[in-house]
Amino acid sequence: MEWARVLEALLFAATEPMEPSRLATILREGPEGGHGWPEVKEAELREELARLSERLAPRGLILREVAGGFRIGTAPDLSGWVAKLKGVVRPPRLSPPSLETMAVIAYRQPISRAEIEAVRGVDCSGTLDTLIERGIIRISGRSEAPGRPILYGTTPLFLEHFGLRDLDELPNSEELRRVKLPTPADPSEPKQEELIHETIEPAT
Amino acid sequence: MIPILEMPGSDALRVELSAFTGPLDLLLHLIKEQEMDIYDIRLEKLTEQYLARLDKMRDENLAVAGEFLVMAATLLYLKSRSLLPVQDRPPEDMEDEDPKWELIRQLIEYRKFKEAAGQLGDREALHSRIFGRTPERISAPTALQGPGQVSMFDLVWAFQKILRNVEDRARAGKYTDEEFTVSQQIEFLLDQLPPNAEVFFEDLFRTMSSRGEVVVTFLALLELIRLQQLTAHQDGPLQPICIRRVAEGTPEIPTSAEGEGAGQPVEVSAV
Repeated sequence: MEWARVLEALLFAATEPMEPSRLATILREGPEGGHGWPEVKEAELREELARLSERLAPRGLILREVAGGFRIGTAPDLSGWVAKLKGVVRPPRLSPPSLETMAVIAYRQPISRAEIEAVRGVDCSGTLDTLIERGIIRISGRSEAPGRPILYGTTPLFLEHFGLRDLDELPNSEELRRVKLPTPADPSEPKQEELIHETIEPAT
Repeated sequence: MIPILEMPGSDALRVELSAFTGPLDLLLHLIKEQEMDIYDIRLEKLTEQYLARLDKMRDENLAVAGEFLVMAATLLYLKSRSLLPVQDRPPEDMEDEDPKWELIRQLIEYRKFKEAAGQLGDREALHSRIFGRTPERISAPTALQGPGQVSMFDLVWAFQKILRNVEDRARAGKYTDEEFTVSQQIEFLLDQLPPNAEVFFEDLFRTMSSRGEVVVTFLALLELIRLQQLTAHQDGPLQPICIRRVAEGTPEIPTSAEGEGAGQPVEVSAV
């Protein structure tokens, strides 16, 4: 099948995960001024991606499904050689404190710094800076809570860094997304019960 | 992150504390070490062990992070409270459940996320060993792109030419001890160039007689291009470079220019 070759070339040249729908669009439309394969279906494309993954398995490359797309990478057992080529001593990893902050954000986003600190019991500003700098988290908005604190969330790079297809693939996500978090002990932020109490009182 | 502050006079700083990501982490470690059930912690034993750890850290000239001390205070409070007969407890505690449970709940929740962090770490260990292709690092600043426009190299080349001329002028006997700052020269450039006005790059430097002034003005120019206040273009290769101030209604200029060197006086020495 001719388009399987094109698919391989696209995945090789890509510098980010490629969504199947995007790959299908390119294959259907064809190159500038040329013809594509308008009949290519996404299901067929996925089958071809699976075949490509099998073909690569005994070789130096692997095909991963990460961050909602497919991406070619070097085989993990060859990391030492590739690291040498790239001039890195070892692949950059997050510190245990950063990983903890990362975990709280991953499961509970969007989440404010005070809420993260209530879980971890330590100041998290340093780890937040590191994670933002690495592009793994981003500011995703502001809370409606008093003081309108900044909220943090994960980026697509987070999924790629940890090799996750999507957030549902996080281990134990069902439970950790539900557990009740400790309330931040910030005196400027009244507790939820107090707020309700205040609004109810004038009515009675 | 545990801020470990260096104490005056201690050169050998040991970092045993960094093994724990925080007081909750240390508590979990002690509970495990003492083979306690987390739902049935023995406060007295735990407090004693916790304080012993902090003391050890202090003996080793380790500054103990504030959060560890706050936890020590909490543990001491809980311990002393548990020693009081029920009728002697502070009234605010009477109807509430034992505050010990708040700590236990916090520990249990924290443990879940700590375990999740460990699993994320395992995934990271595998996936950080996979290298993907990275984008090629050739990208010009947007303000310099486009047909008839000038690359960074053209600008630097034109700048070097000016610098040589200035050195000649300086050698001819003009000396100055003035100091120039990038923000000051940003003001100067904006004065020279009202919105939509154009000027030849070389003309901007015509009146300048010191190397420092030229260098700082060039830095100010780059800063304004970065802030998209100015653009540079030329009609063709080797043609004179034109600097143009963009029209009003474009991003505002911060009062003090950001970036390295901005606002800092640059020493000017006579060449």
